[in-house]
Amino acid sequence: MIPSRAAADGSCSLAFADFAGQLASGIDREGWSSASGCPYLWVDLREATPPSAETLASVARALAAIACPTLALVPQGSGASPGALAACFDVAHSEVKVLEASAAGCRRSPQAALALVQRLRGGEAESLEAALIGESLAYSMLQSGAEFGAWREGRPQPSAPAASGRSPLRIERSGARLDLVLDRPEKRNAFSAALRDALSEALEVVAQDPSIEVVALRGEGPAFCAGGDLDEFGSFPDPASAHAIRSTRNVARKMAACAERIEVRVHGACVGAGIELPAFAARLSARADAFFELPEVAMGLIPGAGGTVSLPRRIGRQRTAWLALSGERIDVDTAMAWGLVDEVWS
Amino acid sequence: MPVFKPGTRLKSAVCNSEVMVVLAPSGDVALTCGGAEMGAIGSEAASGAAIDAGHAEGTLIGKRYVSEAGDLEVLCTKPGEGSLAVDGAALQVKGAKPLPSSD
Repeated sequence: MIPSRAAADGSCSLAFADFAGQLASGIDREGWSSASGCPYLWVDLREATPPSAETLASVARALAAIACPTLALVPQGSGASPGALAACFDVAHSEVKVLEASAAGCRRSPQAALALVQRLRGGEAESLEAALIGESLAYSMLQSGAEFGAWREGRPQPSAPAASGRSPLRIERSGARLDLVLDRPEKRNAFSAALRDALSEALEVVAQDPSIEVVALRGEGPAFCAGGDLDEFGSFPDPASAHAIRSTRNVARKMAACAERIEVRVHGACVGAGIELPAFAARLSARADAFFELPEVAMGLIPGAGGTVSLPRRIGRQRTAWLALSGERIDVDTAMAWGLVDEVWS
Repeated sequence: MPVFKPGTRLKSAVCNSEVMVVLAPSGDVALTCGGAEMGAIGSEAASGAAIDAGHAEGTLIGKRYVSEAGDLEVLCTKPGEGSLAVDGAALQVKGAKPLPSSD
């Protein structure tokens, strides 16, 4: 039992002084868990006095092990750098409404939300390769979960990837420049297995040929990329095989390996993989109509195209967690202010 | 005839094709593109030479090409109009292993 104000959704809401007091008292923390019916822990830092270094360290250790997302309400004006204490939480914001958007994702998919924040807590200290493996393991685990199962039930049967004669990727080489154009405009360049294969093949050339100095990636049609191909979602053989497949042919890893030579220009919808992959590139510019969204948590999953690795490296883990938990869309102004994109064009 | 080793980069004398050697047999190899022997990158292309009509299937960037014996494999890094052959026998495209969707 946790002596705290429990909200109607089972979450636990505490002022920081009470939270710190409970930690110090050695309280049983199992109640702060999605498995115990608590989808998130909400801590109000607005009245918090800066803790001692010792308290801060013990709070940080405790937060890293809590089995649900931890959301911090911080004082107004604390802006982008809300201090060492707020930085220990999975999400921190000064506006209740904004923080509540991430709480909504926790309520909807508590297991996916937990896996997401755990990846983001651990990912910062890991090598890029280890973080990508961790993401894939967590993603596959969720593919067998009830939340993804429930999402799939509401949808038509997935189809095995269709073999089409036309390549989903245009590749144009001129001298030291390689142009890669996502070319499934009728599907808003949805990231299918065929597109994965084509990009993997093209990036292999980049890796092998040092005379390629610039790789320019863009998308044909109304959107850069609307995310994973929902027609194929759920067509994986089984979760363990899906992890082995991602470990074998991984576009995120190949993007990261030659990121310094890659320039991505995005426009329109940049959803899921449509922002996760571009975020690896050294230079990312967006047309003024571009928007960015991570929809996976609502499907009972986490970003699986490298987003738990590429986005934190650009915008930090808390903003990544907020985007993924809330599923909300951000525009180019926010993306620019956060450093998700480097440049905006019209 | 040159000896190839993995990493050797070659260009066609008669079209824009360029390849990188992935796997090579131990001895001399006569790799042609468009019917003409390929040379090291940086060497002068034979001027005015034309593509042999029997070797004009073209190369595709990103594709791997292998000899029938499987002892020579190259990766196309720049596409062109000529096609690849070793000792007169056309190299074949080696398809990547088909992998299902992981989603």
